[in-house]
Amino acid sequence: MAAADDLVERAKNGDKDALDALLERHLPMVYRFVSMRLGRDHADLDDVVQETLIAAARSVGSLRAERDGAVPAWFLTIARHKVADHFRRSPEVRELVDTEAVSLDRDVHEIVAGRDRDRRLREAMRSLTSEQEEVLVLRFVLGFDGEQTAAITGSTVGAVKALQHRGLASLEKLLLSQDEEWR
Amino acid sequence: MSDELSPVQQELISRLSRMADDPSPATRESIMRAVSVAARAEAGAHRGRWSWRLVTALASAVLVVIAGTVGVLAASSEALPDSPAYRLRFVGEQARLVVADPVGREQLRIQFARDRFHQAQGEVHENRSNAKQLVDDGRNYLDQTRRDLPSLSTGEQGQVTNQLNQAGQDQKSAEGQLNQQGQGQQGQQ
Repeated sequence: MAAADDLVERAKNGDKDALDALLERHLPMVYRFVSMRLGRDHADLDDVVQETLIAAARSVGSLRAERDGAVPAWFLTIARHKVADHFRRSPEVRELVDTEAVSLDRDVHEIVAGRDRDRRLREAMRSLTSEQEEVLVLRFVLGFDGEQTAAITGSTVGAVKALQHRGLASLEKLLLSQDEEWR
Repeated sequence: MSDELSPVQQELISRLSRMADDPSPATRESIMRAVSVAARAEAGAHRGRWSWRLVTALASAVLVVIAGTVGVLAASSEALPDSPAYRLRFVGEQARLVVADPVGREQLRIQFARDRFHQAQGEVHENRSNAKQLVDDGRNYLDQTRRDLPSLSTGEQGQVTNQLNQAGQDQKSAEGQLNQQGQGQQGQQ
């Protein structure tokens, strides 16, 4: 973490190259997070990622990198707020899928059905507690392992496992109650 | 707690891992370019704002020094509305607000408001008019912070919101005491 700490310190002290490097290093993680929350083909995906990085650049002075995982956690917190701002500004319009209209083409139908499941999963994720959602995103969307997730969330591996277990169980229960197709 | 995953949970994990995309090199470059342009534009705007702020700060500092020479300002930080020093208290506070950074400014406003709410609770049985004025002025400071809050970044808003909520509690207590005292007076009449 020493190199990362150094980068953060230099960015905080006004080193523009260090700030660019810090932002660029975390861009893929932020992008994956926002694309999961908005959907991969969402028209505002790039804009929300940009807003997150601009906000991070603006408030880098407040970044405290004392513990392992604090920096990605900080970026994800900003990204989460920017996604919430986006939904406040422009409430998501549910995709109305006319399955009859596309029923002639089986491939298209499957793609549409898959996207609809993704959308419902995204919506179900929002009904979890913020801790459960954070752990599921870190583990399965961003690909961090249990130890890295514990470092980022400032908790223990055991607590991460418990949140993961409860989060998956809640998602399963919610989606099964809404939709026969998940069975 | 079992580590066994049901088929649905396995499907959920698989779907979650496929729901997010990595940015293409072109997307990365375009986002970073846009971020750099925005950051540079913002840095320029900040420089302009600081120079304006410096001039205002100097003017306010002169006022503060003048006030200090008559030996009143030092005693004005806890002055009450019925005292001539209360006006100087405002002048001193405005000088501090002018030189503060955006987050510091909101934190100062909150502090000035909380000081007034605490003072109002002590004054409510001594001088109701003073207490009412203190509560009104404190409320104005908090209203300014609430109006300015959206202009702060998300991280900065987080730093201020908790203090703002605590100040809101102080405001409720002071207003509650003021109302109780008012009802008590009406009852005696």
